[in-house]
Amino acid sequence: MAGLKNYKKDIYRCIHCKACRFAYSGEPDKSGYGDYWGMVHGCPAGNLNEWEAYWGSGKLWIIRAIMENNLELTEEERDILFQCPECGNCEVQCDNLIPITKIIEEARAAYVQKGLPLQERHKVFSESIEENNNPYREPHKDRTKWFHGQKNKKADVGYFVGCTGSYRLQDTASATAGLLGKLGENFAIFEDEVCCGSPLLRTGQTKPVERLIRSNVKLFKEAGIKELVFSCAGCYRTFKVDYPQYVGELPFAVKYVTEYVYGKIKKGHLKLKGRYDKKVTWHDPCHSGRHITLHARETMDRKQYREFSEEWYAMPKKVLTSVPGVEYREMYRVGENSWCCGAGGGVKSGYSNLAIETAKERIKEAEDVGADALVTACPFCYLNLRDAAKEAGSKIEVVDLLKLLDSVT
Amino acid sequence: MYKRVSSEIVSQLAEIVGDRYVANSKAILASYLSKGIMGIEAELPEVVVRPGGVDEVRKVLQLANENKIPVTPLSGGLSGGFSLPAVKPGGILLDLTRMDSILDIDLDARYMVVEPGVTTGRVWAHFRRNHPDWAPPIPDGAPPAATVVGDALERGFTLATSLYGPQADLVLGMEVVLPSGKVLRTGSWALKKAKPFYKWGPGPDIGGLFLGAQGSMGVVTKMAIKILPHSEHKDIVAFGFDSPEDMVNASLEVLKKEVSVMAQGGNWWLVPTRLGPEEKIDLEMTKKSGVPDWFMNFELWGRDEADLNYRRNLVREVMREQRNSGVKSEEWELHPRQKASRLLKPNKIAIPYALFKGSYLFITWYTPWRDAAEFCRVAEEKMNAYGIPPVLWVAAIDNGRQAICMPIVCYDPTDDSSVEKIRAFNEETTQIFYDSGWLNYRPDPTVHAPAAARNAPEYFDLLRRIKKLLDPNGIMHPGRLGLP
Repeated sequence: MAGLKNYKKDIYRCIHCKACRFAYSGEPDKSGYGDYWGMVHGCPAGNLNEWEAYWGSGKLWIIRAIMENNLELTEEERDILFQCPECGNCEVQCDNLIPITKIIEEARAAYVQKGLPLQERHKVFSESIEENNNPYREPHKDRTKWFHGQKNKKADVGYFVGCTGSYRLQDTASATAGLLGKLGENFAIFEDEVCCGSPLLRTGQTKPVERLIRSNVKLFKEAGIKELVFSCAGCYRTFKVDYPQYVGELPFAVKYVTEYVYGKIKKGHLKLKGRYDKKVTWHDPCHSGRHITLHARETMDRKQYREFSEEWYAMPKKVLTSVPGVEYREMYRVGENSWCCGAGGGVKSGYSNLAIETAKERIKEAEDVGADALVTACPFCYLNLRDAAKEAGSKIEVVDLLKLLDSVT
Repeated sequence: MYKRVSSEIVSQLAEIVGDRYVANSKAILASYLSKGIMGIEAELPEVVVRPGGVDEVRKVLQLANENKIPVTPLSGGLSGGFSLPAVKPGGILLDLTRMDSILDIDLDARYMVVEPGVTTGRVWAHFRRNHPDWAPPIPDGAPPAATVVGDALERGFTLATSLYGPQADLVLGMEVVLPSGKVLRTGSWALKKAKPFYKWGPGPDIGGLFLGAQGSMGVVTKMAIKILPHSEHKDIVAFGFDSPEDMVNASLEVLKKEVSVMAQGGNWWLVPTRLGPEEKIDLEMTKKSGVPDWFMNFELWGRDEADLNYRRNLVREVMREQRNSGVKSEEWELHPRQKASRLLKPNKIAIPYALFKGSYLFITWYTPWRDAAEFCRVAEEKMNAYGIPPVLWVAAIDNGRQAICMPIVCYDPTDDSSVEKIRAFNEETTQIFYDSGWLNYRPDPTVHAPAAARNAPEYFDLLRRIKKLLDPNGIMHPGRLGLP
């Protein structure tokens, strides 16, 4: 509860205006198409469960009741507070600038600190990370098994692969490494890399996180890494936003792969030889989108924030549309108003129905703009959208941007 | 006096609306609570029910009536944000958000029929997309989750209240479920074959009993309400003044020309208190940046550019005349972004006042337009005396026949002494304002309603008897309007 108390003033600022339910709550005049016009639903948990408790405002009032000892934290409250992919849409819509995502995370941490039972699949995260340095119960020694080049070498650029890339989406990791190689980059991959800590932080299991953070920072610092590149949006967000809270300013720069590739394309360092003749749309991952722009909002004035935000959300689209043959179609909810894929915040593992139903909604949105392919650059979004497309019987192809780029370079 | 909601009642409610739409878990009940904006006192319900249609509402009310359980109807949005029980036990909270259809739009008789859960954002988008020449009467300044029905029932503002009067004046007919379970229609709609084209029925206007009743007489399940002509030719012309007297007197001359859909303003405190936390806001800077001490924005809608120009010129001409007769006033050149944010409907302008101290309360009063200056003087003096930032908003109703005057009381909800201070401020000013002959908007149950009852004994006596007739067991939102 100590962490939550730091946010008391923020929590009490909620006036229950309910703008947090929507995307484009400040743009009711926005033109659209089909079912998408003006403000539309923007909160996956509220959208599925409908009850006030599941929207951002409802969660804040539940947390307020807990803080005032009018409500106990029990498994019932857990299943409300944990049913949220922490996409951050509510926070974008809130004109009283309440850091709702962080508050929900703190409430989850308060729940864990009380020693109350976690969902079994969330509990596995900490057990497996403690034992294997990854949440997948995979042996640590296999972490870089997919990579056949020289490991742990001296380089200015490091590639943080992450647990999902290392064990579940190795083709994404290979594509990223391939891309870095084609760019002529001398980059390093490290056998001693450990989980970034994101699955623990998002599910309130904060205690074991510090070991992971210190281990990773020490590893890259001692290796002399100047720039660390990420293909996992969750890992990137954790390094960018969470790590400095534990260790202060990082001794190396962190770059998300789309930002990195965009810089190379701008300088003409990346030659795109192949074609991708399809109608394509882009899904902004929350961890590399809203979480980063919301973080920037804390330190920038309004003008700076607007400019940064516009450029940040435009970058991956510029990368995508630089591929010859791509016919770009824009979905309705994009940028800071993007609809979440539903996988984040421990939802994919703990509340899979919410994850899949949320992703199905995104598949529908992509279909409505006539896209053949829904492209993204986050392992969680990719896996969940792919599962949803399959379950919905959709013909749409869910594509990993890095694999696409690797195939055309 | 009232019975508690037993598990048997919960089961019966579930039989009526389905398991999925009944909840009595402590967390779900807690999620509905709201303190700030419209009031700071509320009780939790014992169960929340989300009916899907009028028949389900009817059955829920019958069950509640038979068992003497309080019912609080909630349309959905901020305008109904304080629709929470005023008594203990809290009984049933009837959350009407599932009833969210736009049922009819008649462009000839110029009305729409909506259910209670239709939000301002949704209905606005629907009209922009399908009927751009018409505007639904949505509340101005209320966020997009507010509802048309909630705002009308509370006699709130529309985006064109300065021209057409409060939203309730635009209501042509209602479908109301009474506690007995009987369904009543008002106005011409009372006749079996008639459409809701006319506010008046065969006799007296029964609809008036439900407008401003705060859910204490029955549950409105459908509302027919006028739609308004809309144009893309819009502008805001703003003027600054040295005093509230100049603001009120000069603006009245403009309002008498009946050219502005909305005239609203107040003092310079309105600007900095929505920008950020008190400790980070340089108040002197705001003053130096050109925000006038007092100001009035006139929102103009022209049929075309020529008509808009005519309106702009007319407003400026009247203000010139006022200056010539001694009024201290200058046109305030608004930044295009300021204009755009004002012209955007529905907008979120009223939301960020929580940034300044942590929360805020709108304590709203009606006065004759001329009295608005005196209201501002008294409110400013009392707010200063209580150490409350004197944020004052004033707007015109029905071309300045009346004013709506609103101290925006910024307070720290985490500090009990701050909360106590605004309670004391509200108590003292309520007495002063009633003694001045002014009228409270949406009287709260603990301060305004008892004072109103003391000041209008005959009115309240009749109201109580009417309530007894419609709601013999007193189940409808008891206590909220000072009625059982």
